[in-house]
Amino acid sequence: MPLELPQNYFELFQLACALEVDERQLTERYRGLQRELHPDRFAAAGPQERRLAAQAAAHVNQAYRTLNDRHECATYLLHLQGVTIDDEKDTSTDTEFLMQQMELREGMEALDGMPAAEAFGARLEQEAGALWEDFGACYAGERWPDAREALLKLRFYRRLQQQLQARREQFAAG
Amino acid sequence: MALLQISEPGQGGPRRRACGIDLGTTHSLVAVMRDGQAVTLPGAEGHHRLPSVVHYGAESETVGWPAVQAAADDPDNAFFSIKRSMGRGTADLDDAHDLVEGSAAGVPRFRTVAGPKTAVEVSADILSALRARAEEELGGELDGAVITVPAYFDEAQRQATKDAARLAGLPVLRLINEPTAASIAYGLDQQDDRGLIAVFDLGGGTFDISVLRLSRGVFEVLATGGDTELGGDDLDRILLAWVQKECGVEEADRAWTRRILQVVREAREALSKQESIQVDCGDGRVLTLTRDELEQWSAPLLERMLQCCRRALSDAGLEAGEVQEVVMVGGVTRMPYLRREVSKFFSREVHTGIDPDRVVALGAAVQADVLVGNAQDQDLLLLDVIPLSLGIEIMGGLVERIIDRNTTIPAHHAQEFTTFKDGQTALAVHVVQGERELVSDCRSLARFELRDIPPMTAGAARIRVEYQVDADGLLTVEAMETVSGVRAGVSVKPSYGLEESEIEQMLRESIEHAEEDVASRALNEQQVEADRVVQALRDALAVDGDILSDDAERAGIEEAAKALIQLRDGTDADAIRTGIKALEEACEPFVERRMNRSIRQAMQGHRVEEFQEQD
Repeated sequence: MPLELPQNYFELFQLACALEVDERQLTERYRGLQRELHPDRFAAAGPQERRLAAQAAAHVNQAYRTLNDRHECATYLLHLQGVTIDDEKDTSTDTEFLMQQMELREGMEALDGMPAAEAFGARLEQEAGALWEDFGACYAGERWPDAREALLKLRFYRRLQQQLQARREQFAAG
Repeated sequence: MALLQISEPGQGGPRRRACGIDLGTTHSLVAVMRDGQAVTLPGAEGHHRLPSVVHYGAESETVGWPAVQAAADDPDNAFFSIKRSMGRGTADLDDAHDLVEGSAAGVPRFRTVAGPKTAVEVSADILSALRARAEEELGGELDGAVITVPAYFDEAQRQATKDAARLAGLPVLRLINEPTAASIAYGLDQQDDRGLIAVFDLGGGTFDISVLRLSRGVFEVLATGGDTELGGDDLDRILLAWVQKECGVEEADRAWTRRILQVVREAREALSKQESIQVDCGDGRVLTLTRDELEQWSAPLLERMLQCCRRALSDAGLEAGEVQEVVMVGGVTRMPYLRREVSKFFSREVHTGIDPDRVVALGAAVQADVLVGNAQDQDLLLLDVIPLSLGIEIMGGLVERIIDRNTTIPAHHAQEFTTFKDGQTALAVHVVQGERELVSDCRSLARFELRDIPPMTAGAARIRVEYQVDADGLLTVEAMETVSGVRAGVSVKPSYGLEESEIEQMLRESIEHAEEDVASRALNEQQVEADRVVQALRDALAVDGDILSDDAERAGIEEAAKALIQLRDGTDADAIRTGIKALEEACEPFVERRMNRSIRQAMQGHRVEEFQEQD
């Protein structure tokens, strides 16, 4: 891209490279960039300029979306360290953890109403919270394989939380 | 030289002519700014709402009320609710119109006495009628228009809308989503506190729910949901079935159906103000319909709408109770039942202050005025999302997601492919839209064929495919073989849309039909485009002329501009087109530097904001 837009998402928003992103600053700066670069700002300009603006705005959107989501942000932090995760193929190999996941999945299927769903949600949140702490410690200690493992485990929790949300909607709809 | 004189852009110049258009399923509207206020424009008969009805006669076509009248005697040549067919294939239609024989699966062609018609052409006729209203009000050709579409419209439906605008000769600045337009009209952006807003939009044929966050002029759509086949029409069909059963009508002909639909729609609307109504079904049959009955029959439809609301809220990561404002849009939301139930769902009063039929067109007019450059001081920016995920077909008929639903647009995704045969020079990519895992369960959008890949041994080529979704939600695909740096040619075969050559053909036919001179129309189009490009360059140089690298660059640009201006006053449309291209090429480095300056300013803007925050 011939555009002088910082490719590093943290630099783009002038934020410290860390998992704990200042949401208010991120959002302010995101809007500030879009105010100047969104293609609508170039509605009267020529097609070349509109195309460049669309490229710039798409990059800013992608960066914002990444840093605004804890999982995406963590994945991006590891990516900056040269550690990659393939969504399709990579998964945790910790058998004890996988057994526990099966148990959680069964627990989810057995939910019979909103109160049970709330309690189950609280449990997921607590266990995921512990893993996030784990990720943070590994990242700070530059133990990349361990950080990666923690993140892979967290993906299970994200999926469970999404499924739980769908269940709650079912319960809400009656 | 006079051409590139420095002048302040957008100041002292004449106001540019812009309008907002709500192209609705049952009714359409056009609005413009008058004395700083958005107003909808009435037609010759004094009605603001133009029925979205077109009738094709052997001699001439009519749009709106005359078409409604003509349709009573000749329903076979009239189109109602054509919006439902936009971007749809033959298999999707439930319209009773006869299709032309040999009609392609992708773009149905309906038989009329005036020849075969596609949904795009019918919509173009509605848009032309609205364009005429706006041009009469503004006293000349339009510089730009904003057209609204349901937030939940897929790419094919958006593309069809844009194609219709092109046929109607409308310069489209932007397609914007109906709920977003409505929230602009409410001026909710004027509030200082950051608000979370839900827009509940039930039209004749579509339902949309959008959740937005507004902050200092920035409208950020967090999530959108809906159903493009759910609307007031569905209620009318339930009522129609009831009348048919009560009156013992076994075989309903088209004229009877149209008449009863009209009668039940009026009855339904009247029930917003009274508890019961007599429904005159003709032949001396009068039925009584109560509000209670109507509400009972509406309940399953309401549940489908609330289901969409729940999903949109969940996508936005919000609970219903967090929403601070609820805006009701669309005539059907006058039903007390809907207002009551939606209010209950969000646990707050709903906004109904602006006429729900006009609010979308009014908001579109405000946005058109900003985009065309009349309202320079107005800080208004829309950040919209793509309503449905985009994916490509991979082995086994599965979908690989490339852009998730509710991603803010413009959005971009890049992917690398390789060849699987020696000497392979082409590659096909099938793009679909939807949330399901199987290609057969999603909407097919288009097949992109990438050509001119340099022949190499299997697996050696690296083909980088870039998908770009623009601010209108429209997709373009580019591809390059990265080992050789050769750009691939891309040809698009839309699954449910018109190809470029078909649109050009239609343009020619519509011109012939209008007895205009084809050549003069083409010339005029190129002249308008040349003026636009020169004006844009003038504006750009006025602001950023200092970043021209040297006199040689300025001279190159001026020379190309001078050449274009000379060509523009000639009579050769193709030469003007070439001149425009030459000028754009001459400007390319300047345009890039200019964009980089915008980027630097935007980045520095951060620091200014921080400074202010510390005050």
